Amino acid sequence: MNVNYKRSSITCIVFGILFFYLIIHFAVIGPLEFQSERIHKVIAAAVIIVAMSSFAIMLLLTNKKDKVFDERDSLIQKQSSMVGLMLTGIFVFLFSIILFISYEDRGVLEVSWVWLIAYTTFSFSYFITSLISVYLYIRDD
Amino acid sequence: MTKLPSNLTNSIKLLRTKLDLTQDDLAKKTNCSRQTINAIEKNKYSPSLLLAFKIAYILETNIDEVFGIE
Repeated sequence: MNVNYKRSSITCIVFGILFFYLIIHFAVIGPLEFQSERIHKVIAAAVIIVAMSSFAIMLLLTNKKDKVFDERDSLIQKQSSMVGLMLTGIFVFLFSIILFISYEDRGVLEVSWVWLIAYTTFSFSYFITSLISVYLYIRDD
Repeated sequence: MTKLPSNLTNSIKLLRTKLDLTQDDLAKKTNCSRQTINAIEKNKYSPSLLLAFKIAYILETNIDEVFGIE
């Protein structure tokens, strides 16, 4: 297991947990309560900070100066970024269009949905890109 | 119309063994990872021209002795 494989695996776990946590947390509480109760935003912010700190620590710990340039790693990163970008675009599109269809009759949308779109897009892009990298590494090994 | 050969083959393992080199040794000398050498040997990854030349150089032979198509 090389450094990039380890990085992708850890990134996948960290952002996978964050992504599913945000979705489940929001689904359980609901958009209205999330918007009105400050404590939910604080809890969510704390989880995001923990995830981002873990990611930063992982990057620091795996950052070696004598790291070799590996062209296969570059190819895997390129392929996963390309597919990840496409899937993130599809995710945002579907998320937005489902919200539009659901709230079309009401004409208004709780602003907390925008918060959820922002943070899930961010975590989903890291999660899906690293998941594809891990898949490509496993496939080629 | 004749069909062009499209599968890359290689004799890295054979040449490497002759020189008593491990995958890790070859990876270090060519400045890539052991996993990449392994993937090339198993024909799961086609190396760049530069890496192919580096491998041939380390294995003390010509590129066409190391790689071929069928």
